[in-house]
Amino acid sequence: MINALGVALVVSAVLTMLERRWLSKAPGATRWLFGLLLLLSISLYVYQAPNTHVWRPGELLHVFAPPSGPP
Amino acid sequence: MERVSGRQLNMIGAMFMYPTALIYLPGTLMTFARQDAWFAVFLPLGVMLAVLWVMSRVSARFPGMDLFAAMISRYPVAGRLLAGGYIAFFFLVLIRDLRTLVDFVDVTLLPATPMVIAGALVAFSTVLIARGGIEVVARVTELFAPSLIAITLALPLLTANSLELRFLAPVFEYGIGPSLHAGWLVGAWIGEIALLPLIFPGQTFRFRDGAYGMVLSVLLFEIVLVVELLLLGPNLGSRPLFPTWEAVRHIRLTDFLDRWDLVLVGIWFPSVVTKVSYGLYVMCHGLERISRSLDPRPLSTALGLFALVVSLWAFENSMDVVLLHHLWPWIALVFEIAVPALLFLVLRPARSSS
Repeated sequence: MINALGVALVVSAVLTMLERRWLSKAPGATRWLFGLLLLLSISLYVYQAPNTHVWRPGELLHVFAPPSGPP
Repeated sequence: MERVSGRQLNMIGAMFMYPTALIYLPGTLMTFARQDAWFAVFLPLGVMLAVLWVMSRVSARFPGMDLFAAMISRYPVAGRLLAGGYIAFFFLVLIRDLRTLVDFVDVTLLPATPMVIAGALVAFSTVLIARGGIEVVARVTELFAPSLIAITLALPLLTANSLELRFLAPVFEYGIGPSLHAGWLVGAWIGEIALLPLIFPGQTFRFRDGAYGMVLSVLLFEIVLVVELLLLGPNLGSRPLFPTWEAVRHIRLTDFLDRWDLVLVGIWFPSVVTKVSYGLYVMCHGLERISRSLDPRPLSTALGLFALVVSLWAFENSMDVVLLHHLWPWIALVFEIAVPALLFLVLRPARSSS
């Protein structure tokens, strides 16, 4: 969990640093959406990274599995 | 204003489905249609050409505007909702393609590399292409697509000594039903090409260019599928996770070129990364149209990262991505058939009072 959080924070910090030139000129809505997407990415990555059993949307796809199974 | 030539549009059309469809789709088609899988690919082509024509007619009603802009300018609220729907659709396309490619790299090329590292490298390249705008996307496509087309055309020659025509018989052993089912599955992929008017304005996008791209894409996919059928047969071809990879591994030109498959993957890889970037570009373009306060350049980075994380979370393993093929036609039915039909009926320029 701590490792995942560290990786996510470092990646986000680097991305934000790289984007500073555009973000400083960008309208408020862009900055808010950029921040929101980063926050969601960090949360989701930390939630699923430690390889524990977490709920995944892919589980719903098994409803559509053909009777004979996939190739 | 950014400009794209007719040839670039042809290439984008051809690459809009073909490079990623090569990974899992042939195996799925052979599972259902067996030796008739080659026939199934042609079944939805007419329908999807009709959808492309419908989209191009709607686009022609709004000269100088792409369909995102046309929808939003004519119906500000409903248009934005529809544009949001298409952004969500292309987000699904993006995570599907990203995860498909990352799984392929993880299983066949770099099994010891953590999936997140391989995924980050693909996502980074994708972001770099998409943030440059449509001209960069078109030029990168024009750079790599011809090599992929050339090796696809050369594939039957490279494998000629191992092809066995008996694998195509008996024709329609189980009737037409399995081919129709396989056609239903592949149609959803072909239909993505019909959505090109979302990003190209009316004077750039012509039905003829889009149709050339769609037909070329289907023909290239057909060549690979037939080679796989003739090389592996339907029984063996439907078993491996990556049948195209298994097929190209059969190529043995000389002793010192016995890993010719890696050369082919090296040519295919830039094209597939470019194809993945289309989804991200369409999303960024749509967001820019929804609100002028949304700058697509920085957002492409954040969206690329978010798509990577979602693609790693959403699917537990490769089998989930394969299962997505069975849900995909229902999603495509909405965005590739129903909404274009609705736009054709409803979306017309406002009549001026004068």
